[in-house]
Amino acid sequence: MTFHRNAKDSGNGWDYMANSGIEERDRDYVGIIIALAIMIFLTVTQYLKLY
Amino acid sequence: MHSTTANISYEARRKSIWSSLYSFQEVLPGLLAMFFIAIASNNLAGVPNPFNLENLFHYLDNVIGPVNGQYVFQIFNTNFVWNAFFMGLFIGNVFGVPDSWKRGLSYIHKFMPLGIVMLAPHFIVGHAAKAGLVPILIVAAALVFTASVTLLLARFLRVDDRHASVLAGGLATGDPHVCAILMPMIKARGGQVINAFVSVVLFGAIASVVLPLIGAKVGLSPQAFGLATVSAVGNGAQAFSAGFAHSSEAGRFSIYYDVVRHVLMPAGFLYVFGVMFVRKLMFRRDPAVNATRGVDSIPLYVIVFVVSWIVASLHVVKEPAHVAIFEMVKWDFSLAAGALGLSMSVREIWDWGTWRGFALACVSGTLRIAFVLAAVWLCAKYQLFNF
Repeated sequence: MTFHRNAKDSGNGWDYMANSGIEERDRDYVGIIIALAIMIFLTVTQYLKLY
Repeated sequence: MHSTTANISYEARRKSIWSSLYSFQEVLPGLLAMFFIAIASNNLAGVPNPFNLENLFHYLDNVIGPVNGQYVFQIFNTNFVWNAFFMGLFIGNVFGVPDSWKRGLSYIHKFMPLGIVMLAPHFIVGHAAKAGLVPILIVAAALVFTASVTLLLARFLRVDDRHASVLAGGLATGDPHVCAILMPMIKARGGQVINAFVSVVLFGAIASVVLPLIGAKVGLSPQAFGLATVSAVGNGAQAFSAGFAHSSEAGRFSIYYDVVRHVLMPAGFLYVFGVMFVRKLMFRRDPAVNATRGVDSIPLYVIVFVVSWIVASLHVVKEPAHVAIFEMVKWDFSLAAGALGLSMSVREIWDWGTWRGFALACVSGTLRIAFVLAAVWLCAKYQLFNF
C-alpha cells in the first residue's frame, strides 16, 4: 500500500479534489437528489406523526 | 488503488448520473476513512462514541473555565466541520493517504451540494421578525457592506479573488462555516478556505475584546450594544463574549439578536457568489479573475437551496424534522471536512499568503465595526429602534 503525504500527489495521477465537467454535474445531481430525498422523507414522516 | 478503473476516464465508464457513485468496492476504503474521522471528531446522531475531539474540547473548556460566560473552544469556533477537518489534516500530514482511499474521498464533491441543500430548513427568516425592522436592516446592511468592502480591498492587498471571496463570505455573515460553503461555488482551493477561516476566527477573537472597550466610549445602551456585537463581531460565542464583557444585559441582547444574523446567513454567501459570478462573466478574459471560473451557470444545487430556503421559511419543515435534518447535515459536513483535511498539506494553508488574508480580515472587519457602531448610534439617537 502506497501512502502519500499530500492526497494530490497521487501515484496514479488521480486527484480526488479535482471536480469538473460531466463528472461534476453528475455528482451535483446525485447530491441534490439524496438531499431532497432525506428532507422529504423526514418531513413526510413527521406529518404522518411517525415520530 | 484499482488502477484499471482509476485510469479510465469518467466519460468512458459513465452510464448514468449514478455512475458518479462508482463501485462499492472502489469507494469503501475512503468512505470508511471519512466515517471513522467523523465519529472520532464529533458527537453524531446514532453513534454514541464518547472519545471524540468534540468531547475533549468540551472537557478542556471546563478545565479552563469560561471567558465572559463563553467556552474558550467555542470562542475559537470549534464545531462539527472544523473538528473533522483538523483530524483529517493531522492524519493526512502525519501518516499520509493511501491511493485506495481516493475514490471514496472524492464523495466530498457529492457531500458539499448535499449538505448545502439540507442546510435550508436551518434558516427560518420569520424568526428574525421578533427583532423588528430596523435591527434586520442594520444586520443586512452590515452584511452587504462587509462583503463588498472585503472584495474591493482584496485588490489592493493583492489577495487572490477566490481567497477574498471565501473570506468575504465568512466575515460578512459572521459565520466561518460560510468559507466552506462557498468553496464549491467559488471554486476556491482548500488552502484558501482554511486560511480564510483562521483569519475570520482570529480577527473575531480580537474584535470581541476590542468592541466592548469602544462601546464603553460610544455610550450605547446595553440593548443597542448587544445588536452591535452581532453585526460587528458575529461568530456566535465571540459576539456573546463581547456582549457579556460590556454587561450581563448586553450579553443577553447579543443572544436575542443573534437569530437575525443567523437567518440572514444564506443571503451573505449568495451575495458573494452572485457578485463574483457576474464579475467573471464581465471579465471572462482577465487572467486575474479566478473566482467562479469553471462555473458556467448558476449551479443547480444553489437554485435548489434557494427554493428549499423559501419553502422552509413558510414553516413547511417543522421543528422535529428540522432538527433531524440538521443532524444529517452534521454527518454530511463531518464526512466532507474529513476528506478536505486529508487533501491538503499544512503548508498549503499558508501558501496563499500567511498574512494577507488576516490583514484583509483586520482592515475589513475594522471598517465593519465603524459602520455598525455609526449605524446603531444614529438609529438610537433618532429613536428608530422599537425599544
